[in-house]
Amino acid sequence: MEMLLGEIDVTTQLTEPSDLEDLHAAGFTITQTTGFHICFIGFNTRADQTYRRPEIDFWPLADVNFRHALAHSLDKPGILAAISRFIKSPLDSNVPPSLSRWYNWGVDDHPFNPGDPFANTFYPEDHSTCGILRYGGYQFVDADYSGDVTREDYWLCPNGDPLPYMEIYAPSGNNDMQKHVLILSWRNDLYDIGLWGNSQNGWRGLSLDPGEQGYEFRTYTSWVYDDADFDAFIVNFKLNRFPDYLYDWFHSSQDSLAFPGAYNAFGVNDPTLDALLETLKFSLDHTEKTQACNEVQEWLANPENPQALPTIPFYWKSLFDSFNSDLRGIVRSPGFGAGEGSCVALKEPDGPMPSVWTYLNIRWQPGYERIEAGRTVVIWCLGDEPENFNPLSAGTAATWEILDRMLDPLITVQPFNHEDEPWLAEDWEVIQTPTGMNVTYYLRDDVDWQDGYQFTAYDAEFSLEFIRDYHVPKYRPAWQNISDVEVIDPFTFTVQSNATSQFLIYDWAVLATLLPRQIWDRAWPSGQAVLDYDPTAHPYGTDMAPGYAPGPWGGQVTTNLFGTGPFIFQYYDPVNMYCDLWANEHYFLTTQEIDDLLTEMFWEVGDYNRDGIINVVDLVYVSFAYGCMVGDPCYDPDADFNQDGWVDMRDLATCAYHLLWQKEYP
Amino acid sequence: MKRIAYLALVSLTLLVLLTSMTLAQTGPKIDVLRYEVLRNPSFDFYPPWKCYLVKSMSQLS
Repeated sequence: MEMLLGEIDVTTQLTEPSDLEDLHAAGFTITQTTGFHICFIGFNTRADQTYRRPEIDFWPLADVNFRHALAHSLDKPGILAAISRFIKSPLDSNVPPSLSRWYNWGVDDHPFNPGDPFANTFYPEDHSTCGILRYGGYQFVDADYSGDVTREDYWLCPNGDPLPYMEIYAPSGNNDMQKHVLILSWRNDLYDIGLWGNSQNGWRGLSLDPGEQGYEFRTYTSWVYDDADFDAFIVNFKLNRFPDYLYDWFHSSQDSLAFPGAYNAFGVNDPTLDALLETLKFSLDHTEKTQACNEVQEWLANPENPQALPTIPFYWKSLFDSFNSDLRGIVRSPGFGAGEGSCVALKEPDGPMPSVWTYLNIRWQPGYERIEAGRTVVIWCLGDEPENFNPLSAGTAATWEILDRMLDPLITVQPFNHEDEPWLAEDWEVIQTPTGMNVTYYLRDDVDWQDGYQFTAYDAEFSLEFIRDYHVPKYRPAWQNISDVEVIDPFTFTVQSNATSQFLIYDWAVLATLLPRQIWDRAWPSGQAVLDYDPTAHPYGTDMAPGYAPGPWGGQVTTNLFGTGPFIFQYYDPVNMYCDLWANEHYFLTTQEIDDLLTEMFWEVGDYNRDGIINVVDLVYVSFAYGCMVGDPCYDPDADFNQDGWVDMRDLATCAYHLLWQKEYP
Repeated sequence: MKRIAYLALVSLTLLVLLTSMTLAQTGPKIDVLRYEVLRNPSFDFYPPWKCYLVKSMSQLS
């Protein structure tokens, strides 16, 4: 509605079909890609719950039979068809199909089959929720002797106790209506087989909070990941182009109970899984990594594995982004969409995202600008309130939507083909050592912090060692293997690691630019003090690190929250709930350079004549040069997209695959 | 004559320099990026009955 009224210019990740239809009919620019996105229902699988619920003798969610039974009670296709008309698609694995070669097509999908609580059949013959529960030793109790399933009925655990109250943390309707409705829909199916706890059966079974109100997303995800204090929860994650997040979610070294803020909230501790995850994370052999990734997905879905199904994967989604029709320069990236912002989700700190391109390139059609006080403004919808602005502790996608505009990585991602793109680092080099690897980054010498201090290798060293020395929990997978960071010269530094991993190279490329020394280079009383610091609470020039004076461009920075990126945080108004970021007038790239970069990157995927659209003209030109090698009179370097000196089928296929793609929309 | 030519050359150089500095705008192409928190952007369109689309509560008991 706000879009149609012109109060908002951009809303991303729309999931309500009628919204899309209305916006499309009204002439808004709509872009679509499949998404690097996952939603799952997660369980606390620790058999010993004495740390939070000492009254529990038997914890059903620690029993794979119970979790397996629940997996068959969730009618993913039915619910998603009714609620989102398949903008959200059913998911059977912890890796979405959009991650293509990493996705395992053979994972058991545990189809919807609730079964009959009154039957006497058992799994595996009766492969239903009720059949699996009976196989696991659970017994249905027809409490009111009605011969029918009513709200009084419940199940007994194998030890004879009634099922305990198991609360599912879900967002409130006001916070995320669709997810709230999805859980209510699952509730209805669980009611039908006596598994839903309610006031009439003594809260025996799964349930929402008693009022079925739900919670703030950022509140309950903090209970889950910071305190491991939960029974079950629903969450969605924005993912990146690689599945190394599986290590962070399921490796025993990342347990949230031992390391608050880490991502294995489920308490999975499985040596078989650990070995596979270590291969996925640390191997440098691509085939070995994809094989390990496939096996991880199978093992997590295999009910023969006692630690299987710590999550029930629920859905992944297509990304529909909508823009005011007077906006130009929207860059669509497969998997990532054309922009971020409206998604109530968590975001893992796991490497660079390519979404920077829309933000750098978006502009108003001349004559149709939204202008306030002489400045052109674009109003972007943010789906949730930011929880805090500390880049060491913030976890929600809403906060990172803002932080990402300020923080630039050393390496970014080519939006059209997802290859690495040099950014603050011009180049990098990996050398394997007997104990791990050394990664040397060569930085540009024309990058400055937004307050005017030059960004150098000393800043990168400080940031990486700070995160390691203060054991910042959410970055544990990235710092746990750093042995040393060595500055070679002001624009070259080497990270020495006691492990090899392709993914660590990207993690460090993000973390190296996180913390300006002029703010963070001080003695902190504790690791907690580091996490609790709010850089936006201090106007720039106050509370600086000892020995630092305000930088030459301090006037354009308003608080101690800043980075090297294209936008500068001004303020967040928590009452009216909006946040302004201003363009960085001292950014290291000119608008012309940004244009040139986009044109070259789009050429790499088949735009022979660099006219911003890949069409039959490009195909014809490539066909003319087909089969020609360097030195041949017919060789045309503009048709050799992969620059291997030979215009061959790969170049033709590159062009054909991207046919009708546009460099920017509309 | 020489002086005029010299002045013209200096003026022209300055003009070119100033123009190129103006044109070499850095960074993004908009001045302000504003985020407005609009929870549940779909909420306005969401008919309440849809909450119970799959199965209504009355069907349960």
